Amino acid sequence: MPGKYTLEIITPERIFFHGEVESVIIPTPDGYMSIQKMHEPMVSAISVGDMKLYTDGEWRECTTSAGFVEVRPDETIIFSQAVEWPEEIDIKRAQEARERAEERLRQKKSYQEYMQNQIALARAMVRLRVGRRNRNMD
Amino acid sequence: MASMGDIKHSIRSISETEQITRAMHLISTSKMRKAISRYDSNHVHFERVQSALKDILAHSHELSHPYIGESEHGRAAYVVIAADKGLCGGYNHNVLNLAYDYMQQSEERYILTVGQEARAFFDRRGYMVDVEFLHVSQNPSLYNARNITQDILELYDNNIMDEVYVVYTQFASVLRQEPKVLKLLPLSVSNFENVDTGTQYSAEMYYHPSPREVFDILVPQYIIGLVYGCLVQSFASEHCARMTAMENATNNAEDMIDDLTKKYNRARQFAITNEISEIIGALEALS
Repeated sequence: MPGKYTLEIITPERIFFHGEVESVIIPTPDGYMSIQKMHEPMVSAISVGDMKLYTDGEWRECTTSAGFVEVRPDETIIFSQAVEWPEEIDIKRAQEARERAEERLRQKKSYQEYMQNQIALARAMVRLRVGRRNRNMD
Repeated sequence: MASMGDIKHSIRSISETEQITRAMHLISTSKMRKAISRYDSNHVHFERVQSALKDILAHSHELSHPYIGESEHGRAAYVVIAADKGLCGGYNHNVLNLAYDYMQQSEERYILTVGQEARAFFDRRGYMVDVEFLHVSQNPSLYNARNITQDILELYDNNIMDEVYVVYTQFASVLRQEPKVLKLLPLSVSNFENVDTGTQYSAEMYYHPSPREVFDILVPQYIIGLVYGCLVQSFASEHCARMTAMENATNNAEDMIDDLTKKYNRARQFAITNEISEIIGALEALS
């Protein structure tokens, strides 16, 4: 159903977004999901990836780390460890993080550490992808 | 009356102490500003994530997951957050004593400490500290929060502990900080008695992809957020407490120096008067 609803994106370090949107597309463990007005109450996990907001007639893209979303009748709240606009991404830092994560994945580590590095790598990759894509458009 | 030399000596030593406390006060003030700005950007998340979870639990009956349920006081893990250093008034004392008293109700405890003062406290009382997180209390970061969360979940997932608590200092204002115990696991609606969800409706939640998968991801995320919030609040509280303590110490030192300076002047005056009267006495005896 088209129309605007309130969306909040909150990370432990700041309030990333608070405002009216028409749609938001989030990465979940089994693919992208779009949330629009009057969505039924829902809780979903969010995986590392790129997220899109449709507001004021344009799509805005950002990257997100792992988290979860709560859809309520009155508003939708996204909790994530880190969310960034493309212009905030430090490509060099992401590249270093990617190399670090790849290096650690190469070493044989416990399953826990393996999973953690896997996530760190995914985070770095999505930052690089979104960051580069937006820089090329300029 | 004390001699001039003695008084001079104590004035010098007090002013040296004053310099140190003044420097610590300035350092704490600047650290406190940084800490408070971190707190400001975190406290919305800290409150909203709790109210979101309460809301989720309130609308999810017939949900079973290892992270959810009530628990009796059995084996509990405690994450105790204190400072690395003393000299911050009652800050360490308050939070550590609360942790100590609270622990008495558990039959078996597993202690994880943040900050050297916390470790020293439990060592003195003959408790074994199982895990110590170094260099965390001076640098509350998401990275550290993730590491702590990982350790907590490992204990819980492997069924070594039934409950997990975090003991931290809640930051209310620059002048008021309060030690608090927060239950992390297992989750139940009773954990959130003081939390307002801000909304009332009666629909059941739909979980995507499945309740189990959602909670597998949601709970660690929630705990990372809370642990980070507790670290940030403790950090802000520590520096506010230290700033106040050092301000008082500096003021006291100033008062003492004023006092001693008066005494010193009096002693000097007394010595001069004495000398003059001796000279006059000698002159009179000569003539």
